[in-house]
Amino acid sequence: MDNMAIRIQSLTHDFDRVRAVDGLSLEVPTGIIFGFLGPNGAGKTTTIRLLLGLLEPTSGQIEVLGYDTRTQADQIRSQVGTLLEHSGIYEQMSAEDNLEFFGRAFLMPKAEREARIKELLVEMELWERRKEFAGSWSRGMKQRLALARAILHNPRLVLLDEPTAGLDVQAAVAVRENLLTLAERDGVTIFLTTHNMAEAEKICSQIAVIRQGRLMAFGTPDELRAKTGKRQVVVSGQGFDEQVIKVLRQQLEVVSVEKHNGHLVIQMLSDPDIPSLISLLAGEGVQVTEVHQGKASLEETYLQLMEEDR
Amino acid sequence: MNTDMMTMIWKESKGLLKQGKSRSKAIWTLLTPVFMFGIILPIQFREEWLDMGWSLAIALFTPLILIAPSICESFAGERERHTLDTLLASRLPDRSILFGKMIVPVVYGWGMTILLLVMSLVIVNVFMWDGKFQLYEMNILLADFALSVLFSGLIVNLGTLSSLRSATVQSAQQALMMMFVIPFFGIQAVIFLLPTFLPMESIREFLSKFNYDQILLVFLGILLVVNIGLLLANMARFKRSRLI
Repeated sequence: MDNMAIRIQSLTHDFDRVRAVDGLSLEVPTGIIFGFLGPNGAGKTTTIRLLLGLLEPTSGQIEVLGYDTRTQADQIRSQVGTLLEHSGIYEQMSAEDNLEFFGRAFLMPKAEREARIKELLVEMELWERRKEFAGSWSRGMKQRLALARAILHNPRLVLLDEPTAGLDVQAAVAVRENLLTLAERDGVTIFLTTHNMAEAEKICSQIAVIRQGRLMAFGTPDELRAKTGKRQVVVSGQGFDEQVIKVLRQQLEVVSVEKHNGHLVIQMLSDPDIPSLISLLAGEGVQVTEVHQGKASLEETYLQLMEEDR
Repeated sequence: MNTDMMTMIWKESKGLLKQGKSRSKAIWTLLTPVFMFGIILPIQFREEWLDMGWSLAIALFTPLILIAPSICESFAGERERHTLDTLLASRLPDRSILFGKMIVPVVYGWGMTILLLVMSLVIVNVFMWDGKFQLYEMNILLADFALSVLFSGLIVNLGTLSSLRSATVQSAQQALMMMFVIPFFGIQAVIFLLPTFLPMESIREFLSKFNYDQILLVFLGILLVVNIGLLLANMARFKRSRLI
């Protein structure tokens, strides 16, 4: 059995003279949360539309759940759940009717449909308000309803385009928890785009970064962070004067040194030799009280990737 | 009719009286032809309503009043409210989405016309009661039925055609208005110019060979052909990749 939910090979898509996706190749294993990152206009939404067979590739191949998007888009759409750029909720219909419509559209039998609608609305904490017009709801509630709609028919793959954009912290956490449950408990593959690096770092097993339709980096969050080659050391203590900073900047392995909230933040090219660093600082009269060592965050890695591509 | 089309019909009928922002506006739109064609005009025309063909006004104007304001919502409205992408990403087939969206307003326009024909018949009988219940002349009744369904179809076809690619409901409505206005002025221009270029006497002589029913039949035939042509155009124009 094929363990890839999505296979993209040399995918290109042009809108008239604008190339939205440029030679993209990617594989997404089943049962994971896959993050698809990139700045605005990078080609993320276009890629999702191509995956659904809503757009035809200019060149290249896409297989979703083993089906070719050019010739088997109907099969793909019947087995995939979607939450696109906008929630797509019918605001003049009740929450229950919104789900009822999509349940019917996915040919769910009546009893199964009713049970599933109840299960999801309860899980999303929307059951009590199921009869209300969705248009009167907050953005967070609509987004949870849209997520319920996306997974209503128990799809094997869910495509989510910025599912937590514009949500407050609590609503975003609730959506993230739902996604983790889906992947871990139900084995659903989730392909999501996001601008939120912390979110991607928390929930994604694998990440691809694209810019101007081209793949820039691909791997687990750890692998991506390691690719930048940077290591970070945060030193707490007293005596961080200009002379100390100057001495540190002269060291070969040091990329940058910054004083931040009374701490020294040192970016290094490779794993630092902490005892030597402490000796060096002590020699300059610094009283070191604490040293933290870590990798660059995904956000820093992402920014570096964007910077390198300029 | 297949399950997918029934699903679309279910959804569209749910939103039938909730198009746009105001439900009260939709109800007033519904009440206008009820008062005009169901009560006022039958009282005014009395027995002529049943045998002179005045009731054909119901078949022409009821679909126009009821369907034209809302048909442009069908695709342009979904696009404007950002629900079209999600609908197209569902497993519903192209034909079911298109036909489901077209059938509901046709049935609505046609059904309301039939209802108003019955209502006006009752009103005429109440005001003209002479001991027996009067009915429409058979040829008028058949013309009413055929004209209302074909005219409902025409409005729905034209509205869908303008709505399929319009970015907003407003631009779809403008396009629909042009579709009605341009042929109207075109016919006016032809009528104005005819005496100059054509032998009017010969034309009048030719037309006088036909009676009222035959002319109406030709008109209905033309409407049917136009409807079929527009339906084929809508089917050709409905392409998922071009609708987003």
